[in-house]
Amino acid sequence: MEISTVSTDEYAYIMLSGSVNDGEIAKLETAFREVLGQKVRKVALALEYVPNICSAGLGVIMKYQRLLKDQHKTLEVHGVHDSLYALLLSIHFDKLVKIKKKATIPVI
Amino acid sequence: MNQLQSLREEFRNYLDTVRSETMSCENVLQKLQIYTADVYERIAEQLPAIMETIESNNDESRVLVSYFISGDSELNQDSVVSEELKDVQVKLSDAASSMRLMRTDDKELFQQIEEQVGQMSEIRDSISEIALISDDIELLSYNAGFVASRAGSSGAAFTYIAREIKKLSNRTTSLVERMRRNTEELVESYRQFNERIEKINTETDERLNNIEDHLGSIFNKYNTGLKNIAGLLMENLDSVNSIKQYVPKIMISLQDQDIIRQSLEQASSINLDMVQQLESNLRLYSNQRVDEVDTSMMEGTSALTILMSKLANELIGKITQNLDESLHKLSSDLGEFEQQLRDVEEDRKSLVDFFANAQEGLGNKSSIEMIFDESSEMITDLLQFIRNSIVQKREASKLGTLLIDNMEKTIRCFDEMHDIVKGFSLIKVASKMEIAREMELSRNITASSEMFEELTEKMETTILQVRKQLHTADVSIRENLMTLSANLAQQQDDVAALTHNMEQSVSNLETMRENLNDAIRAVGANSTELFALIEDSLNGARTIKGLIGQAESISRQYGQIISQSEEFRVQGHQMGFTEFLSPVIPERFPGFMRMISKFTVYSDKEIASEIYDVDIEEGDASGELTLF
Repeated sequence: MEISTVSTDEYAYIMLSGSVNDGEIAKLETAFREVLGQKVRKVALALEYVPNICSAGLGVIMKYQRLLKDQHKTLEVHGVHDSLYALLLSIHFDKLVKIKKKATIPVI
Repeated sequence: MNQLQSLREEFRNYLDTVRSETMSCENVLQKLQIYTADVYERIAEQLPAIMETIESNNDESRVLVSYFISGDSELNQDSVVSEELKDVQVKLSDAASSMRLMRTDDKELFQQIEEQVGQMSEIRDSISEIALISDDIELLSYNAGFVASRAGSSGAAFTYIAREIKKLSNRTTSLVERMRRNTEELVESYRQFNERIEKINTETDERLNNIEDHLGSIFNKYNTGLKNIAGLLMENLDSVNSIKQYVPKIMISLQDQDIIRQSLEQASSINLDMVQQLESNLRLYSNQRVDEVDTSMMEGTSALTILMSKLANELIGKITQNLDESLHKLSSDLGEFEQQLRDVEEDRKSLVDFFANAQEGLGNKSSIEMIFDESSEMITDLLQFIRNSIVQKREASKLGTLLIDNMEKTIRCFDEMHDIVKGFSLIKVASKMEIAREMELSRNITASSEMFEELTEKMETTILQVRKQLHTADVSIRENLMTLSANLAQQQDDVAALTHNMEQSVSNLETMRENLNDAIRAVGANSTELFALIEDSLNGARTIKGLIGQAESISRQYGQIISQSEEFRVQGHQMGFTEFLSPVIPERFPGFMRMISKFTVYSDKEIASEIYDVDIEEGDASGELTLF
């Protein structure tokens, strides 16, 4: 899994590519910790190239959704892979976190 | 006091000091031995308990998840939720099939009613025919009246008959108009009735046509959502397995304890030998046998004390170093093990919280509640539709009553028309009697009368024929409407029973949803006990770590014992006793050499070899070498 972060005035983006497996959770946590300290009000996860997220990955996303909320920030998903989208909808994750199925991520 | 006596006094002081220091070392060594054994043994005992707790928690959670959601694929067993859902699906499918059957029955009935109402066009033709006859009769009445008036007084009776015919003809015209109107209304009321029922039936057909797909999508949504939840939970439970890899590492760290224990025993045995040696010397003073304390004994004791202290000091140094490394490794493994477990636990808590606890973003519902409620709403909505369609049909069937009313009105018109025809018949009879009396009347009147008779008969025939048709249609429509009404009542009963069943199923699903929520909340809930066990092990390791600091102080004490022993030897030599020039080497003390040769830890022997620069013989049968 590749992970990178980029920020605009409005959003801090965490861009992932490849399946999120157990062994890569630390990288995801590091990225979240990084954006948690930034001043932006919104954090967007780009998951268009992520066909699958393991339970630990989903746990981490849920944990940071709470932490961001505590800081009056919001987490959104901008772009999501079809197979992952089906999983997220089936468990009503879209009710917890706003999901934009297709989204343009800025290139900086 | 001579030199020897002075030296004996110094020796006594030296023995007292060194004995006290050696005893103090012994206390620390004993404590270290006891604590190390205790902590390591406790960790060794707790580790299987920790694993057992993890496995038992996992097993319980797995059983719960598979019982409720995922089922057991090996046993080819469905989960209870899945079974309940299948049951609901079967019930709804049955309901749909029975709705389809009822719909087929309805169609047949409507076809029959339509056929009956279709005959109304024939009746309309008959009514037109009656109107034409009536027009002819009216014309005839004008003609008869004209001829009769020309006949003068002899045609007076015919003038009256012609007027009566005219009256009846006028009534006929007005009645025909009513009949036309009634027939139109009859057809219109059927059209409305048919239209409403058709509309309901079309909607029902549309819904029934894709009901299997619809049901499939509801239950697919249920199953997908719940199976995904089960999958994520199972995956989380599986991740604990990868943490198990730390256990063998921790067990290996624990094996160090065995060697450390043996080294500690060896160091302690040296120390105890020293204590015994010193005490045995001191006893000579307390037993008034001080004469036995000669220079050789004093020199030998101080030399042996130096040798033993050096060795004990080296051993303790090595032990504390090994213990420190071992504890560092153990604490690090245990810490990592704990951290991994906490990470998994935290992930699980996040998942369980989202799946089973109310979420603000989900309208204060859990994910599971959302899945259940959304699907239950779809089932309830489907049921409501089925129920409504029956109620609407029943409402629409009331239009059938209007149809019957119009039919009755039409029949009454024909009955009235029949009365008029009877009036015509009476006039016909009167007319015949008058013709018989006034044979000399013009042939015109006779001709009119014959034509009137002919028209009256024709009208009667038509009326009777239509009346019969209407009666047959009326009976048939009534029968069909009654059957339809009975069918609808049956459908309503069936739907009520189905609704009751479905409400029961929805209620079962709600109970199941609560149970499932509770079960998911219980996944991994016993981990407090697990972390307490790990924390206890870590605390034990921290206690030993504290004792290592004390063990390091022993080294200083041995250093003092050595320097005090050397000072005493210098003093002895300065006082003129050459014995104190003897070399301090282990070979002088065969007992000491034997003790070293019995060391069970190979590296301890190596230490002895290095510090004394001697070869240590292999241990005898009691000494089993342990590689370190």
